[in-house]
Amino acid sequence: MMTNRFLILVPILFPLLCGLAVAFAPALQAGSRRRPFVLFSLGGTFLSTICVLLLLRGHSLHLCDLAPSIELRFAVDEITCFFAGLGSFMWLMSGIFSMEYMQHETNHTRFYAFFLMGEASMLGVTLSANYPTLYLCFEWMTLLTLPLVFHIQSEESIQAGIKYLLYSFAGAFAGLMGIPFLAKYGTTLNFVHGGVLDPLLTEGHEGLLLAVAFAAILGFGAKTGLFPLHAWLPAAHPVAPAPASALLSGVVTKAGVIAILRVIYYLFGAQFLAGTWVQTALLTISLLTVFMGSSMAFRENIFKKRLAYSTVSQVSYILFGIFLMNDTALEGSLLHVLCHSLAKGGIFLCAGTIIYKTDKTDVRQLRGIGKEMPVVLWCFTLCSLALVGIPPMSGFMSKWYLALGSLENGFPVISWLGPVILLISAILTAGYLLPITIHGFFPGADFDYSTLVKKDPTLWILVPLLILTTLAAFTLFPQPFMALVENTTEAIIGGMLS
Amino acid sequence: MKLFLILPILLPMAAGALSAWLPLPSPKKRDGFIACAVILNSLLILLLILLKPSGILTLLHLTDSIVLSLRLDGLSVVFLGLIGFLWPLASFYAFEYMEHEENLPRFFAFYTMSYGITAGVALSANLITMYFFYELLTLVTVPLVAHEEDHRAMRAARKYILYSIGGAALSFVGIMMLYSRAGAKDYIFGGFAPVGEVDSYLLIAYLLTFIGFGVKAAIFPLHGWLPSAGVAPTPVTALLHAVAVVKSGVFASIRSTWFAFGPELLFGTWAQHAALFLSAFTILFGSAMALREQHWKRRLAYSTVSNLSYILFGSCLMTSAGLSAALSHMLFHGIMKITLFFCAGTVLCKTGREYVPQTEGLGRKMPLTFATYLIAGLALTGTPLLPGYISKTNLLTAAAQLNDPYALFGIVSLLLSALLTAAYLLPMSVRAYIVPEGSSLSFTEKDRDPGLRMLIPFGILILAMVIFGVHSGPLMDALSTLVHG
Repeated sequence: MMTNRFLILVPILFPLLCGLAVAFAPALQAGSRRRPFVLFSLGGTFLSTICVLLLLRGHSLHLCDLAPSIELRFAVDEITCFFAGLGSFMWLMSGIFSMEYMQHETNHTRFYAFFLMGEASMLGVTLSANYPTLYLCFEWMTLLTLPLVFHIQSEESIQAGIKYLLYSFAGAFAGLMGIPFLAKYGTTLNFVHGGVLDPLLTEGHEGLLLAVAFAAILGFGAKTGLFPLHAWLPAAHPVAPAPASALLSGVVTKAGVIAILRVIYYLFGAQFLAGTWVQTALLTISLLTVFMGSSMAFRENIFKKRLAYSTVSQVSYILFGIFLMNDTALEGSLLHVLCHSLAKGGIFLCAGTIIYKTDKTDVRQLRGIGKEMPVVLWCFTLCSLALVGIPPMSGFMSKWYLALGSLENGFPVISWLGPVILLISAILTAGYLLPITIHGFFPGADFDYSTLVKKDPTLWILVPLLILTTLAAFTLFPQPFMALVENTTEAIIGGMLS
Repeated sequence: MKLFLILPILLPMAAGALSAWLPLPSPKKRDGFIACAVILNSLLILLLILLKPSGILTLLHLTDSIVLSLRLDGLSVVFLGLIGFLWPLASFYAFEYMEHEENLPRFFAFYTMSYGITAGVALSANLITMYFFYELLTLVTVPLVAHEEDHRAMRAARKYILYSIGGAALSFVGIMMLYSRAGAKDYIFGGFAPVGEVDSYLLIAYLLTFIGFGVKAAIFPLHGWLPSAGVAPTPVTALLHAVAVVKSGVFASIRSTWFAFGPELLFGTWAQHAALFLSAFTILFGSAMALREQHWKRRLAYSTVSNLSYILFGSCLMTSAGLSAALSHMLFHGIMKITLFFCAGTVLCKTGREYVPQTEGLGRKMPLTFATYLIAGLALTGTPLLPGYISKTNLLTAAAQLNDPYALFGIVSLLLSALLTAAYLLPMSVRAYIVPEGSSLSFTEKDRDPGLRMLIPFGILILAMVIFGVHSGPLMDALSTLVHG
């Protein structure tokens, strides 16, 4: 079948142009017209992304050269399919949610313009087929999501935004370091299954290349909240409006995961990194981040800050699996990508709804909230259980595979320390999420029930919440999801490490 | 045909001198006269670039061997192209900017004359000719630095003279040492110094020349004059202290490295390592100082200190990839930095604000100015789709090709400096647009975007940045053939 390869660009250009239209078309300045237009854009992006993924799988497009050695290339491969579908779906859900939520905020034009352009850049990250293109989309994703962080324009949010900007740039510049060295020691800058290093050229320079790979991975890790570049995340995610924080935590962090997957499995090659000090160091750092994030979340009382620390921890689960570099662990990682995106997206939306309806930002104020907003708190509870990993919910499967992968690995200490830390962190996760449910539903005998008012929100909020909750809690078992994860894992790692 | 080579030098000098003496009835007429002269000269340069007259035009025999002569080669084309593009823009900008200043005839006379002298630096066929124009450039730009005639301006001018003349003297010694060993020859690509065993005499000569020319290129520790010279009116800071004068220093350094001493002599020696180290260190130092500085124009001046060393670093890699990377950064930095200075100058001229914190919230009153500033800032930081990314990637790639610890140090400094650049440029752009709720900022009538004479240069510069950022292939190809031709 003849398909035009330029269609690959549709998932990027469509939301980008829609975002520009929101920003500059006077006809869309009125809320009554903007709403349907934004929904149309998000829905259109989701559908066109799915179509592109189905029709153009395996195709690539050499768009143009920025300079003789800097090509722009896009392609649809297994990573694209996995992450682009998830990302555009999450964006659609958040978008629907925002229709109701954003009514109490101002500056809608700016918000939706960058909301849509941010989606374009995120899809660009998933579609990139070489290192410079990935870097380009990554940088622009930072810039285009930045206005979402300081949307409410408090001094705190502006500082958080600047922190986000500088940490992300610091990470990206460390990531940029890979380009010149791969240009010298590799055969190409395109993503190639198994890596691009030329063994003849590499010989004798392994130390340098390992250091470069380490810097690049830590750099891209900034987006995922990996230690030591994690500090922006608990500052920036909570101050954004809820639909944006759901996406920042649920999807934008995954862009860092994509970049790290590309660097490890498609540029330097897992074979080159496996068993070196780089792997040991990365595993240690990711475990440290898992533990640190959980314990910080446990100690934090501001609701959305607690969730942000939880993101720091949970995304490092994913990275831990990736750094283990075996197929069981990678399967666990990808499962956890799904689990965390859906569940954390859902949890952030719940938190946003509660704050929007009650103005309570501290978890200690949330006693009895379940009596006021039962549906929302039920969604919160189910998503939390999924994230904690109570069987048979999604988080259980992912953590199970991660632990198995770790034990399989045979690293001296890390192989058993990994599961232990995952377990401790799971207990901490239960410890920082479930008390909210307990106090919410069972406020205690001395609680004054007379002041309670039913506050469950409208369908704009409930529909996306229920969809995310259902997916996060129950549907990872059915075969299609497992099959997707298995296929993706096979495509990424298959035949590389024997 | 080759007689034409002298025209781009003489025309602006004559026009500048005439503009001061002719009884031009009104400032408008003077502006018109100068605009005509500058545009005519840029067209002339364009014509020269297109026709590429070959051969050497001898002006004057000082002695039998020491000759003042002109020639147009690939490197001249790069520098001429840059100044030919920017000078008319800066002149138009200056007409609006300088409206309320005094001593305008003097200002525009020297401003226009320095165009011709910079062209002379670009067109020189040997070190001595270049040295001649180089010294002349210092002299004609002193009145521009001292323009305000207050205490600060006079001190800055004195500092500028001392540093520049001192630096030139240093390189003069280096040139003489080279001539004593190799004879007084015209430029040849690849150099004319005798290559054999390592000759410390020549290496010392090279380092003297490098540091001497490095003064105008603001290399550490001889950078001090550049931030002080920021007291000059913005058209001077933007054009001369971001492009013409400082790039003459860089240009001279490239000439001496590549066309006199030659990379073959220098590659791998301690002289190269010293040059690489100095420039890599200046890259970091300039950016760090820029981050600390709260005075807007001085911050940009420190940023120039850093970026000039990017170019020197590229040239000192002594590979052709390094040289074309350096030249690409020379062009792109010229465009980006002049834009940043124009924005800072516009704010200073329209609202009188000169410190960075004072710009908070101003983006709402001057949206076009700050949008331009944001784009140029992103470009200088190295955001893809804008030119800074291209030249920095070229520099990094060229440096990675060398298996050399000094080049590696350069790579690390470059990346750290990129982060510092983001830190000193972007947060202020954010704060210019986004004001914390409930803050009490007061604005006046004067806080608004400038007129068309300033906005048109903004538009042209943004357009140039986007074009080079998205499609620099032809330019890079042209650069790599030019430097060899």
